[in-house]
Amino acid sequence: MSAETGYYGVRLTLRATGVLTFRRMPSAILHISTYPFVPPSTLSGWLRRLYLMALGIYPDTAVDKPDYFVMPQQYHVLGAYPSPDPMASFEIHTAKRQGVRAFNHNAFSRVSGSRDKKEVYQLHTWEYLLSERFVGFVLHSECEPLERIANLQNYGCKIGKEGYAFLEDVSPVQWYERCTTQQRPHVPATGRELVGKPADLFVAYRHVYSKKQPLDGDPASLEPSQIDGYSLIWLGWPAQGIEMEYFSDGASLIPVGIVEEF
Amino acid sequence: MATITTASGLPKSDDRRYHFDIYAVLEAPQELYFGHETQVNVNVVETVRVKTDQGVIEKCYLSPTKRRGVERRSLIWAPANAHGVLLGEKLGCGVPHTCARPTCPICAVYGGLITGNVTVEVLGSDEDRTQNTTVGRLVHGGGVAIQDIEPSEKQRAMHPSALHKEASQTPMPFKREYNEPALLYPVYNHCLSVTEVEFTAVAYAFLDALARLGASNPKGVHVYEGAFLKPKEPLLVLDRYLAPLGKRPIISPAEVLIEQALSGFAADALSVRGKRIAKDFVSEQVDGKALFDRWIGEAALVQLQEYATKFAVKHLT
Repeated sequence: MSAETGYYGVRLTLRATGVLTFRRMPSAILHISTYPFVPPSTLSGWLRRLYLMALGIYPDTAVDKPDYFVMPQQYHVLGAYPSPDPMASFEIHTAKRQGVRAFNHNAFSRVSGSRDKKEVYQLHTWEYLLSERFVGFVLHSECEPLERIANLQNYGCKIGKEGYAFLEDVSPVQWYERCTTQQRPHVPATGRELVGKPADLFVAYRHVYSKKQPLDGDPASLEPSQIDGYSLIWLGWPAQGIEMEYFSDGASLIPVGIVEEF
Repeated sequence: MATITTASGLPKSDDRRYHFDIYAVLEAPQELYFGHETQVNVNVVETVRVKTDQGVIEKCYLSPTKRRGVERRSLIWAPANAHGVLLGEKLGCGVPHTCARPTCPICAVYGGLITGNVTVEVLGSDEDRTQNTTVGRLVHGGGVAIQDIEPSEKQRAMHPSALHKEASQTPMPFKREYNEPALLYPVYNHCLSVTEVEFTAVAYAFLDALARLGASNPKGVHVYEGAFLKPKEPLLVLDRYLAPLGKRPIISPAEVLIEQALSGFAADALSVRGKRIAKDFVSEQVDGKALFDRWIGEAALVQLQEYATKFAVKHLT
């Protein structure tokens, strides 16, 4: 089957055990804002971590130039979105916190003693995304690699900047047929598809795979992904259903643009 | 061709690493204050807004980040020897300066960061520390109260401390919100790939922090007692696993009915590999290897206490 006609796909249900933060970029220091969904790049790294956890492997987390561990590029990991309504089934909780200005003192854990002028707090605001379930999609041109994702069910791990989620459910592999229709999508469309249309837009980032990255990568291998960096992309929810090309299994609508980008 | 290091940077251990999860329902037996912000003369508690089928409701909140802070300080301030030294002093590990050594029982699980090379005074002698990061392998979750009861606002006054009162020394009135007593808070601690020795710090901190949760006074929560296999035992679940074979007892933040929330919690806790368990400890084994161990109720509490005892014997005596 070619990408022209459709893809195989699975629908993932993620369950968060608490509030989550997916730091929005570009970022500020004293205000940390969150995307109101699990960005595709985050979901990709989280899924790869689950593959490694299932093998009992704990990969490197270096500070300096850490290795990337994300899903191979044949897997179109499209992010996960609050359920049932991706645009509304969530709340953003803004916490006010007295945060750290400098790290080279222990004033905040002294039982007794004075603080000098540098040992002070500064006020932060921090956004947390509160949604119980997120529905995500992974598409692939072949059926068999997707069937193995079901083995990751019930595995969980830290996700994003704050919080923990586990893979509550993996749907059977479905065929997502290319079609043209006018409805609200279940995955955001790209900025290119939304030109001239009213929409809620977000700046997101996608991994730029190096030419060295083998095309037949195995997510269950310990080889780090060959990533050159990130490139910026606009994603957005159209204000109303607009006529576009989608991939659909009959229940979910995935704009064609995001599959081409991720 | 470049060599790729796939080692985690953690110290070599002969012990097996496991994933651990703690699931608990906590009850505050009195009012609880965990501040959010101070408006003019009103100290407000942190609440979250939750979408339900009936609309948006506001619920009291035992923030996971605050629980993490209390747990970490309970380790830093643990009495570490017979000469009045605290564990944080012994290790030279505090907040925000963490020692970030993977051998530190606190930083190994809670994580640490040294942003630049520093000299640290540890028990009277200087120690040079280099820039380092240890990624925390413990994540906190939950905290949204079950009951849909808004905080109550109370009038308080800060009185001058003088016994003899002059006319000018009038009390300063202010208002403070409190989470109401008897609210139930489901909370979860998740550990990624830690050894049992490393987990002892998590068990110690979880149990020790219970009495210390909350800002100002009064403080404290306890593990709520409800029905698992017996009609009344601590609503506590401890998992130690390589593969997650048990249903995860998570209470939906949108649930407001205590009975439904707790019966769902118990049903999930008693479901392992799709079967209902009839014992307070189950071990799922394949070829003689334990893939998933679950303790529930009193057995979970005793197992956490066992781990906490090991921590105290190793680090505090």
